[in-house]
Amino acid sequence: MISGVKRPLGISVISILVVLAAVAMLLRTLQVHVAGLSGVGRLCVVVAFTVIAIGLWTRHNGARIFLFFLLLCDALSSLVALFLYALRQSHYRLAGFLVLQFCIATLLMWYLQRASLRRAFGGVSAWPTAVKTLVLTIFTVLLAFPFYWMAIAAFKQNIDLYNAENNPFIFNLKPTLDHIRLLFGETGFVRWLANTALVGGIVVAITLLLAVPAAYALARLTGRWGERLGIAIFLTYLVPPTLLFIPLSRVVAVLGLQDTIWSLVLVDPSITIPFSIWLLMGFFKSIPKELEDAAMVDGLSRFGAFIKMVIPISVSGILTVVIFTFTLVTQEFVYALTFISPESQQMVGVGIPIFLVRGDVYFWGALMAACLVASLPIAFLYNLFLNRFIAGFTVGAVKG
Amino acid sequence: MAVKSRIKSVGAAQSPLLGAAMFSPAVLYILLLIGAPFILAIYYAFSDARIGSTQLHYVGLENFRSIVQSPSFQKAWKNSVIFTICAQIIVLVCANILSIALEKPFRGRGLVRFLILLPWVAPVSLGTIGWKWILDSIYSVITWVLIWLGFVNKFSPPMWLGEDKLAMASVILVHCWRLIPFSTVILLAGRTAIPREIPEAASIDGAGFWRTLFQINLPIMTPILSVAVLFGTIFTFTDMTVVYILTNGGPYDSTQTLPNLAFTQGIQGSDLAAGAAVSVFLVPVLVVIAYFMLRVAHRTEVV
Repeated sequence: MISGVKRPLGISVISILVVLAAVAMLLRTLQVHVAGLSGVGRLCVVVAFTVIAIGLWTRHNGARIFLFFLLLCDALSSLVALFLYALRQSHYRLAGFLVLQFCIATLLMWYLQRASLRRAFGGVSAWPTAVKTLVLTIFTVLLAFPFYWMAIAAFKQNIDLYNAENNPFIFNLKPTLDHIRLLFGETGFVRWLANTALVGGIVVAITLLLAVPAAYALARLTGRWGERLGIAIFLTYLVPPTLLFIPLSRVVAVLGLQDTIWSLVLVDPSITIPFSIWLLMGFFKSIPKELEDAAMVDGLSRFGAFIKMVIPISVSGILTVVIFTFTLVTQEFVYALTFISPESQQMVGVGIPIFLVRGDVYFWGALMAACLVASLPIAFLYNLFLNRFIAGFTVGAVKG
Repeated sequence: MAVKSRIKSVGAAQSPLLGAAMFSPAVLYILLLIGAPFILAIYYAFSDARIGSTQLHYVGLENFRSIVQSPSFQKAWKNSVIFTICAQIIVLVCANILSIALEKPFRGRGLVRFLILLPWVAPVSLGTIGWKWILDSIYSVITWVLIWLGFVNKFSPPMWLGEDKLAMASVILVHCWRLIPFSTVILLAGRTAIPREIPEAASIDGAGFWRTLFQINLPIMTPILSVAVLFGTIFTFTDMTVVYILTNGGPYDSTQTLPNLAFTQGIQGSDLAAGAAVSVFLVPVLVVIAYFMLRVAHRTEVV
C-alpha cells in the first residue's frame, strides 16, 4: 500500500518545518480575528496545535493532508479577513500582511500537492483517516445542527429564548419543561399524533393488500412484460402530489371526504403503492424459484404456494414496505394541507407548522419540541431499513 | 450477472391468468388515483373549473394565456429552474465527498450515518420549521454568530427570509440540506459496487489522477450519479413544502416556485383551472426525467 512507502529524512524535516509555519500562520490569523488572546492562552493554543499536528504526523500520510487543510483554512481565512476587515477599515499594513500570508499558504499548498495529495485524492487509495474525520465532522455538524437546535429551543425558558443578547448555544437560565407541557396539554398535538398513526396504519394495510400480490405477480407470473409493467408502475412514483392535488381536491369533495382523515386514507396509497410494488418485485425475484416448486410438488396450488411459502419468508421485505409506507404518510404534506382544514383532523406534518402559529405569534419552544418528538422516532425506524429502500431507489443501477 | 435463466421448471411455469388477477387491483387503483387525476389536471387547465361550482366549460388556451403573462408565473418558473439546478450542483459535490468519507467501515459509523440521515428521514415540513427558527429575523443563530465575529452590524442584521437574494439562498440551502443525505446514501451504494481492482490496475498502468477520474471512476459511477441527480431534480422541482413553510413565495414572489404558485392560485385562490394550468408546466420536466430514468433502467438490464 501507499502508506507503507518510506519517507526520506530530508522531506520529513522540511515537512515538520512547514507544519510549524502553518500553525504559526493560523494562530496569527486567529489573533487578527479575536484580537487579543492572553499570553498563557496563546501558549496553550500553540502547544495544543503542535501536539495535534505532530501526533497526526506520525500516522502515515494523514498529517500531510491535515496540513493541507490547515493551509487551506489559513488561505481562505486570510482572504476573508482581507476583504471583510482590513480593506473596509483601511488597515493597509494588515492588508499587505494578509496578502503575503495568502501567497505563502498557496505556495505551500502547491508544494504539498506535488507530494502525495494527488494519490490521496485520486480515488485510488481511500482517504486517510484525518481527512475522513474532518469531512465527517463538518458534515455531521452541519446536517444535524437543526435538530440540536430544536432540542435546545424546546427546553429553554422564554426569557432566555427571546433575548438576542444571550449566547444562543447554551442554557443561560435553567432548562424548563413548560414548552412540552404546553404542547401536550393545550394544543392538538396528541390528537395529530393519533390521527397520523391511524391514517398510517390503514394506509399500510391497503398498501400491503394491493402491492404484495401485484409485486409477486409481476415478478414471477407474467414474464417479460410483467417487468415492463413494473417499470411503468415505478414511473408513476415520479408523478408528484403537486401535480395531482388540484383534481384530487375536486374528487375528494365530490366523494364528501373533505376535512376528514378518510380523504388521506383514500389518496395516500397512491404515493406508497408504486414504490412498494417496485421494492417488493426486487425482493421476490431474489427468492429461489425452487422453494415454490417444492411447495407445489407437495400439492399446493400456485396461489397457495404464494400464501404459505413466499409470504412467510418475505417478512423482512414486507416489513420494509410497512416502514416505508408509514414514514411516507407522516412526511406527506401537500395532500393533508389541501384536503383538511379543521385543526382536530390534522396530521402531524401539517398541524405543527400551521396550527402552532396563532396569528403571527410563533410558539417557537413548543414548535421545536413538537418537531423533535415527531421526527426522531420516524427517523430511527427509517434508518433501520435504509439499505433496502436504497436498493429500490437505485433502479437496478447497482447490482448486488 | 443479470442474465435471466430461461429454463422453466414444471412447477414455476408462468400463469398469466392468476398473475393478472393478482396485479389488477393495484393497477386499477393506480389508474384511478394517479392516471385519472393526471388527465383531469390537464383537462382542468383548459377549463374554467373553480372551487364551489360544479360546472366545467372548455375555454381553450385562455388559462395559459393569462398565466404566462402574469409576473408571478414568470418569476416562479425561473425560480424553480434556478433552485433545482443550484441545489443539484451543490448536492452532487457534497454528496460525493461525504460518500467517499463514509465508504469504509469505522467505529461509530452507525451513529454518524443516523445523524447525517436525519434531514432526509425526518418529515420535511418539520425540518423546514427548524430552519425557519434558525433563519428568524431577530433571533437567528447565524446572525448572532456573524455579529460575534464582527462581520455584521448589530443594528442592521441580515433578514434571511426577508430580502430577495438571501431568501433565495435560504431556500436553496434548505433543499440542499435535505437532499445531501439522500444522494449520499445512493452514491454510497454505487461506490461499494465498484470493483477495487480497476482503479488500482489503472494506476499501475500509469494512469494519472485526472485520467483515472475521467476515464475510469466517472464512467463507472455514471448510472448511479444520474439516479441521484434524477431523483434530486424531481424532489426539488416538484416540492412545495420548503417554499410554502419558509417564505410562502415571498418577499414579493422572489422565491415563488411553480408548485407553490399552483397551490396559491388553485386552492387558496379557488381558481382550480389556473392552478392546474400552472402545475401542468411540471409535466415536461417529468417526461424528461422519466425518459432518462428508463434509459438507466434499460441499460442496467441489458448488462
